[in-house]
Amino acid sequence: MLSQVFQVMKLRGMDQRWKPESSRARSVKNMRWDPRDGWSRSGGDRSAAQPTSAVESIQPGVAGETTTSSDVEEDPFKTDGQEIVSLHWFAQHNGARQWMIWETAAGQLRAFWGPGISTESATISGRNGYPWLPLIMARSHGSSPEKWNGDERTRTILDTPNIRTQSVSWGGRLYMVNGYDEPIVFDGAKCTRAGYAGGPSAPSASVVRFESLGGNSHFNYWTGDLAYGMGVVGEAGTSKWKPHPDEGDDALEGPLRRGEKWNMWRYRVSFVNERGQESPLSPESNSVRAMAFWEPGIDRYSSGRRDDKVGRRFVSVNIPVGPPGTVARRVYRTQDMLDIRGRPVNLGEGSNYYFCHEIQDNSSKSFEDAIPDSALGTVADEEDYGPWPTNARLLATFKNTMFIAGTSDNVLRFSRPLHPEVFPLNNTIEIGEGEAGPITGMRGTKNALVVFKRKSIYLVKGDPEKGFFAETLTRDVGCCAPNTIAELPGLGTAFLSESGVMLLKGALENTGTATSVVHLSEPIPDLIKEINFSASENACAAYCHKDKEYWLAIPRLSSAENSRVLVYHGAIAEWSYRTGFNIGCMVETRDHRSHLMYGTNSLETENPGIRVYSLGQNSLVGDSAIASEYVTVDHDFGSKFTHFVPAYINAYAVGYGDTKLELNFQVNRSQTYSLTADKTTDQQEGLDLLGVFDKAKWGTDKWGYHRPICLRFDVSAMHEGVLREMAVTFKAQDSMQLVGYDIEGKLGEQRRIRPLTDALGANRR
Amino acid sequence: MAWRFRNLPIVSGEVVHPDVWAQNHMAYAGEFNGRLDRDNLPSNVGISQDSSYEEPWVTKNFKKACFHEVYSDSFDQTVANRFFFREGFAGWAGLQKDIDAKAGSTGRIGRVNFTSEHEGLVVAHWTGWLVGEPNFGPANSQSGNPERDGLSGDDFYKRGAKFANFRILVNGREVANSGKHSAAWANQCVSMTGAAPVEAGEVSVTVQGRAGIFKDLEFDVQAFQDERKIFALRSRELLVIFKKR
Repeated sequence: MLSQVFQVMKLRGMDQRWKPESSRARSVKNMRWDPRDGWSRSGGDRSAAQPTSAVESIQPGVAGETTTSSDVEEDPFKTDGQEIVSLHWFAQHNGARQWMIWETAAGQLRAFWGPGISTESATISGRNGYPWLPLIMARSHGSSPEKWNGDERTRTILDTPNIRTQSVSWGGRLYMVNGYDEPIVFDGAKCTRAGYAGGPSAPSASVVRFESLGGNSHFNYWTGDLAYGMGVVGEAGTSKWKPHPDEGDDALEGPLRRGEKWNMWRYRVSFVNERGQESPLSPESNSVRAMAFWEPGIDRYSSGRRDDKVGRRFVSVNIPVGPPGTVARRVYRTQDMLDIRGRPVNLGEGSNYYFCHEIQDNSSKSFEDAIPDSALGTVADEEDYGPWPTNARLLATFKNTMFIAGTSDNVLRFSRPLHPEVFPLNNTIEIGEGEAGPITGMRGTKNALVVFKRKSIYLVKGDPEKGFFAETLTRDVGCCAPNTIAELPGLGTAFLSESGVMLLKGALENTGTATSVVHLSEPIPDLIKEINFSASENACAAYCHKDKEYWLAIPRLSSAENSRVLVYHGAIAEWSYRTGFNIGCMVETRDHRSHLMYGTNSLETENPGIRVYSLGQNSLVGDSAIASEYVTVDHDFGSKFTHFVPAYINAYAVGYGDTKLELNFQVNRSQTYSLTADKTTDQQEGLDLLGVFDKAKWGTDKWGYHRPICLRFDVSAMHEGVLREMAVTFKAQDSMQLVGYDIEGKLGEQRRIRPLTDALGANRR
Repeated sequence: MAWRFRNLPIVSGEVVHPDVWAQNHMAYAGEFNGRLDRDNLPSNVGISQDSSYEEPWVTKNFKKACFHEVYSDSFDQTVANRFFFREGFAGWAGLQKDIDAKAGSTGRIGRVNFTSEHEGLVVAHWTGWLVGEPNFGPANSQSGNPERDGLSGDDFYKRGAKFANFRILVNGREVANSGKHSAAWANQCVSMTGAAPVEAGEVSVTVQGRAGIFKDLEFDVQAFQDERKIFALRSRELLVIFKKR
C-alpha cells in the first residue's frame, strides 16, 4: 500500500452531529478564530481594577530595595468581596463621558470612578480607595441624598434565577428597572425616580378676601379690574337678574345688581420632574365660586384712572408639594362653568381643564390665580398622561418612544413620544395570547420592536403618529433569557430560546429580505442539551466586536449560575466554547475601547468582581494559564473493511517559540486517547530558530515574528486494531494557533485475501 | 470606564515579536490624544467637603485665564455710591443721569465693557441690595401697615403697588430679567444670571433698572410725575465670566 496524505486547511468550528465535514471540529475549547484563518488560544481576563502594584516603583535587585507583601496592593474588588449582579454601560456628552454602573449582591448600586483606586486618595473625604462611588438617590429639598450603598438604600436582589435589573439609555441618562424597586434614572450626578407612580392629591381653591375686613359681603374680596383678575362680568346696563329658583337663598348674598355675574372654576394640578416629564393630573378641586361685577360710572377714584367699578376676582389655590425630583407643578383650570344666570352651562365646560400656570418650584403651597379665562392655555387631554407602570421589568426604546413590559398583566405599554416617563393609559398593546407565556424580552431593532414571549415572537411596528401595532412573527419559538438578546452585525438578532440559540434574520419589513428565525445552535446539540433551562433567566450574552464573537454565558447541568460560555464566531458562523468564566452579567463598552466587561456570579468566591476579557491575559484571574484545545472531527476513512495506518500528523501552526504544542488522538470514537502520553514539540522551525523572551538579548538577538510552520508528530495506532475513524486533539498551555493539519498514513482495503490453506497447503510444504 | 488594558501578554519562551511591545504601547499612547477622562484625570479637583487638596493636570498646567476671563463692576453701600429711582422716570435706566439730569456721569447700576480676541460665552451675574420706598416699607413680615405712602389701604391696593425691575443686557440683548420687586419691602436682594454667546470684539454688559407702578401687567409710565425717590440700590456687583471658545 502506498501512503496517502489527508490534508485539512481552513479549519472551522464545532459540529457535534454524527457525520460533519472534515474541516470542522468535534470540540473547540478556549480558542478564538483569528482573522488570518486559524484557531488561536482565547484571551484571559483581569480585574477591571487591577491594582497598580507598588512593586513597579521598586527595582528588586537594586541595593537597598526589596519588596514585601505590603507593597502589593490587593484587587479592590477582591477586598470588597461582592458578587456582581447586573452591569450597565452608557455614555454622555457624545461619548466623551462613559459610565459603568453595577449592582452587587448586597444591593449596592455603584459607578466606576477611576481616581478612587489610588491609596493616597483613601485618606481624602468622600473617597475610599475603591475605584467606584455609590450612586445617590435624590430626596426632597432639605434632606440629604441617600446612597445606594446597601445601608441607606438597598436594591432588591433575588437569589432565584431572575432577569435582574434592565436598563436603557435615553438622552444621556440611564433608566433602570428591576420590577421591585422604584424605577430610577441616573443622570450622571444622581438618581431620581423615573416618572410618577400617580398624580398629586386634589388641590383646594378659595376666593381671596381682605383679611382685615369683617362681614360676608363680596366687597370684602380683593378685586382686580377689567384686564386683571378672573371672572366674566355681567353686561353693564342690563336689568338685574333674579336668582334661579333652584339656587335658593344660598345662591346670592342679596339681590344681583347690574353687571354682576357668578363665576365658578375647578382646578387640577400635575407634577413635573427635572426632565420635563409630567405626572397624571390630580383629581378635581372643589368648585370655587366668585362674583365678578362691573358698574359703569360709579365710585370714581381720585386718581382719575377708574371710571368704572369693576370687580374681578383672585383665587387662591392650595397645591400639593411633589415627591423628590419634582421641580415644578402645573395648574390646570376650567373656564367659567356658569352661565349668565349662575347655572352650570353643561358638563363639558366643567371637565375641560386648560393650562393655567406653571409653578417652577416644589415648595410653594399656594398659588394666587388672576388669569382671565381668555388667557388660559390649551386644554389638557387626560389621555396624554399616565403613571410609570408599576413593577415593570423590561425596557426598550423604539422610534422616540419608551416601551415597557414585564408587569403582572403581561401587557406592552408605551410612552408618549419624546416623553419616556409618561405612559398614557390607553397606550397599551395586548401582545399575543396568554398561552404564549409572559413577555420575556424586547429589543428595538431595524424596522420593528421585537417582543419576545416564552414561546412566540411579535413585531411591533408603526410609529407614534400613526399608532403602533403588533404582528405575530412566530408562535413556534420565543426567548427565555432577555439578557441573551444581542445584535450580530450583518446577521441579525441572536437570543436563547428553549430550543437553543436562535437568530432573527431579515429586515423585519417587506424589503425583499425574508424575515425568519434560524436555528443557530444546530451544530452543537450536546452543548445546548447541557444548559439548565430552569435557570435560563440567568443566562446572559454580549457581542464582542473586537473578535466578532457572540458570547453566551449559560448555567450548566444542575447549576443555576453561568459557568460556561458558548461562543459564536460571527466571521465564520461557527461555534466554540470556553470554560472557567463564571459570568453573572456582561456588557460590551460602546466606545472605541470595546471592552468586554463582566461581573462574576456566586460561583466565583476567590476573586469576585468585574473583569475585562483581554487577549493581553493568558489566564483567568486566580487560575493557571488557559488550556486551549482543538479536537478534529472523527475522520472517516471508509468502511469497516478499510484499514488506515497513520504514520505522521503534521500540524500547521504558528511558531510561537519554545512553548509546547501537544497532540493526541482517538480512534473509532473511543473514550480514551490512543497515546498514553501526549506528544509535544516546541513551536519553532527546527532549522530557523527565533529568539524568545527570557533568552534573547539586546544587541545579540533579533526581533522575531509569527509565521505558520509545520510541526511533525510521528504516531502509531497499530495497537488499536482496525482503524476506521480518527480524531486528533491539538492542545497547548500557552499560545497556540492552528492553521491546518494533515494526516499521513497507509490506507487500503483487505480485498486480496489469500486462504491460509493456500499458503500452508500440503503441496506447499 | 476609560481605562485601557494590555493587548498582548509577554510570556517567557515565546518569540520576541515586536507586536508585543508596539501593541501594548499603542494601547496607552492612543489614549493620550484627548481620550483620557475623569477616570484617568480626576475632575473634582480642589476642595472636598472638609479639606482642600491638589491634584495633577488642572491647577498647575494651564496658563492663568486661558479658558476664561473674569470682570467685575461693584459698588459698596456708601451714600455716594447709591443709585436712586425716582417716580418721575419709569423707563429703563442704566446710568443715574438717565433719571436725574443733575446726577454725575459716573453713577450706574453696573457695566462691564471689554474687548476679546476670542468668540465665547458671556455669563453675567448681578446682585444688588434694593431698598424699597426708603423709610416707608414694612421692615419684616410681622409689620402690617395698610397706610403706606399716605394712602388709605383701599386706595393703595386699587392703585397698585410700586415695583422695581432689573435686567442684564449683553451687547444690547436682554439675557436676564429679575421680575418684579415690590416696594412693600424695605430691604431685599435682587439676583439674576444670564448668558449669551458673543462674537470676538467689543463686548458690552450692562445692567438696567426701572421702577414705577405696575398696571395691567405693564409699567404705567404716566402714573405719577413726581421727583420722589421710591427705590435705592446700595451695594451691588456685576460679575462677568467670559468663557472663550
